[in-house]
Amino acid sequence: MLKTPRIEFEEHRLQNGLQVLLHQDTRVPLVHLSIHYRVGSSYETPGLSGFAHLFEHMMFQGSENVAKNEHGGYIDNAGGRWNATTSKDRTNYYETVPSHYLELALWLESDRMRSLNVTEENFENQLQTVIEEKKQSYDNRPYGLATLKFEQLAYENWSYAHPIIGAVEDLENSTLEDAAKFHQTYYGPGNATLVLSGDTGDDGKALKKVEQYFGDLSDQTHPELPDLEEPEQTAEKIERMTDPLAVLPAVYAGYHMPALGSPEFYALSVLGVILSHGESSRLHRKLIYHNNWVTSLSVGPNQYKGPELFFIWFQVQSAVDVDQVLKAVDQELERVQEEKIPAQEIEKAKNQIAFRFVEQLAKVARIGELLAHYALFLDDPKRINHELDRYLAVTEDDILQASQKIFNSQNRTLIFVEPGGNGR
Amino acid sequence: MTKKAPPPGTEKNISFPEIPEQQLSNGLRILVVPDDRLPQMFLTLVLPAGRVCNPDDNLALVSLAVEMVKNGTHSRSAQDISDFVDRRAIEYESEVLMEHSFLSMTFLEDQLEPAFELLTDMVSNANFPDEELAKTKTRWKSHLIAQRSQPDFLANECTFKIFYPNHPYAKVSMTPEHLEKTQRESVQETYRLHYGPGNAHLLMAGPFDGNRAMELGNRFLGSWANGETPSISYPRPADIEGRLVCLIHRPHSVQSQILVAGRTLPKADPEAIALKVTNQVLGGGASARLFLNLREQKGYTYGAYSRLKSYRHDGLYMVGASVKTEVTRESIEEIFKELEGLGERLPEAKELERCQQELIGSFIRQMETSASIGVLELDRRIHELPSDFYKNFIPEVRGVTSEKVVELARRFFDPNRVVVTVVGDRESVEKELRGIGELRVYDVHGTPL
Repeated sequence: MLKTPRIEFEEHRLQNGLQVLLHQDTRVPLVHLSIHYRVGSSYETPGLSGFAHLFEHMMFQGSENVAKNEHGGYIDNAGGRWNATTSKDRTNYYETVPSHYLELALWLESDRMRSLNVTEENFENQLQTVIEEKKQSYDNRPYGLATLKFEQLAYENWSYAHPIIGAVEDLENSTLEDAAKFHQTYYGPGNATLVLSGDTGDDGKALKKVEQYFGDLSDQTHPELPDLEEPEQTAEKIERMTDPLAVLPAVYAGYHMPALGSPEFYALSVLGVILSHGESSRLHRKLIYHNNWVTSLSVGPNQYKGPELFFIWFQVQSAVDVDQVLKAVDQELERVQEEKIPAQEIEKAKNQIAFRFVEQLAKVARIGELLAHYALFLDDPKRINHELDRYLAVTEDDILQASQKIFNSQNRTLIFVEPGGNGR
Repeated sequence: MTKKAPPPGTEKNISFPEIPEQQLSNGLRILVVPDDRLPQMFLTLVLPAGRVCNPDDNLALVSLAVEMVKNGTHSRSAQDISDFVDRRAIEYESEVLMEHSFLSMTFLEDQLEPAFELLTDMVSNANFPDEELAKTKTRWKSHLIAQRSQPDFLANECTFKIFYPNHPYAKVSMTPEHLEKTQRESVQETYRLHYGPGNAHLLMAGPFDGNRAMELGNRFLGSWANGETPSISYPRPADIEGRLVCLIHRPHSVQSQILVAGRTLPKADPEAIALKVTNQVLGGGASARLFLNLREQKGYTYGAYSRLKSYRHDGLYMVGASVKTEVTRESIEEIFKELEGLGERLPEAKELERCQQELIGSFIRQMETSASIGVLELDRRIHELPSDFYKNFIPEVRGVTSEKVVELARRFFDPNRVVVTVVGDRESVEKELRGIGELRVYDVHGTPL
């Protein structure tokens, strides 16, 4: 029986509502600070898409004591790493620094949480940057537009359907007042989780330091949780598109499934590994090893907080019939609904899941991000010590029932991407 | 709330562990980095054979030899091997680099002996089945076709061919023809010649101790027989005097991929650390001169960086940026300005300190896991760096002066002795490149146009 090390951490909440998670690990003099704001693109309202991601940019435009774009410079000067990411469900800002720069990191994050410069100039400047980013990252990348289109088609609920990057017309029509309101609603201690993981200090004063920098912030946030409910899909959705930047065809397929943390989520996660992880997996053997029909594939739940999609993506080799490949995938999905997965295959998948979980505990930054993930997505950071058990408890019947629940064609969304222009 | 950034606390010392080496009777050197924090183990085999070992007329052989190791042995088929590793959650990877090959396994500790047994079977009993070779060749051909549309690959390939004509370091990439003509016997012979325990290193990281490591090494890999390891000759690389501009015509490109390169130092040169600091000033990150110029000031690109490529016998610096087509010429000129400036403008104290701290921070991050510590030590040994290289790394980085940076910049980062490679659409870009230096135009296969 695998014994994963228990992750010890403290959980606190400041008076202003800031959730604080502290994990001490002195293997090297390195510390990871991460702030997760409970706002992602799913919190946006129609007409104001792209704001969560826009604010990821705005947060580097300066605050009361930190000049525009100076945040990164401070961390670079310390020899650290920094970044920020926006997802459908949250926005995250982090830095990993040599531990004697801990207070610098706390100062930087607290200054922008307290006093971000939401000004006309910054707003306009970053609007243009984001619009340009959409062109470069999606319009000019193979399958970029297909990836956006897929969720727009699969999800009826606008919250998850619309892209994180936002619509250009929404961005161009937005105002500074919209930005200020968004900022006040979501960006404050009461709507955030702070994680400190690593060498947090030998003096036992990590919490005091967090209080020193964040304790006097007042909380003005009044977040509204998005309604993520997805109506039952009753008919298959199919679209075909041409991508001049793609050199090979690709297929996106998605099946609606229950949210993260549901019993079906764990069963279908295990199934995703059985179908696609490793060269002996069912789809790899059939689609790559035996027939060389596809170049690569990706299968499994999309890991959103709310209603998820069981996602299947594959890129098809030149001169191979795409329909033939899809038919082979369908046959495998029919098989898992009709025959229970043999014990050996389930055990194999669980071994792989356990391996990947242990791997995540190898670095303090990853431990910190895991703690934040469980806090935000499952409301319980203690899951870090129990979550693996839920995967390991999945049975053949769980997988069978979950498969029968979701793998039907009326529950499916399909996008076929054909290469155009420079393609085959 | 403090208005100024708080000063750093007291820096903690970080010490690189002593990693003793033990040797089996067949020459295999074993290194152990013990770490019992997680039930995770790493085995990494490094062999002193890489792309440079390919014959001139077939650059696919070495890569195929290493790839085929996992595709069948005398007792296991390819499917047996993939079943075995997947069932036991053994993550296997292999990589063929310029001068070395790496075969690695990561697994949980209860799979130690099965993993060791499999690794032994693969490296000492591989049988290179025809059917698997055919499948691999077919998969790789698709990949090679896709590669010819990737601007950074094309720029890199061209640069190495210019700097290293008739030299092993130009053996960057195989062609579909190389794959096509490869027969099983030649793959097998390549493996037999180059892949054996003599001069190889095995790293074991995780909950091991030295005695157990030797026992396992002897029991499993002790009988692994040696090959012949033929020597490779390294002619003098090309001298680059003046500016050479190579345009690789990639039709319909909406951006230009620029690569500006010059000759530097071999990996084990005593000035290698000072060179790293110099390169960091030029283009080591988002606060470096290239980035601040080409992205922040001019908006030509999302990012511009400089990387060092260092090998046993030689090295290059490579400045890279993907820019809007209409500013191709201007981008190259700004890169030249920064190269010039590196040799003229002493880095300010804060700038130098940041660059040093960036390298130190990166080193600290590499000390976080036993596997990455082990890889650092492997790198030191295979390149014969001094035994106290890591003990002295931080003080040596801090000891590099601004004057030293300028001195190295003048010696190596000279914009009048460079190869500029541009991957872009000839229709838009060729006229912009005239007058910079001698201009050569190629297609994506490297054929002169």
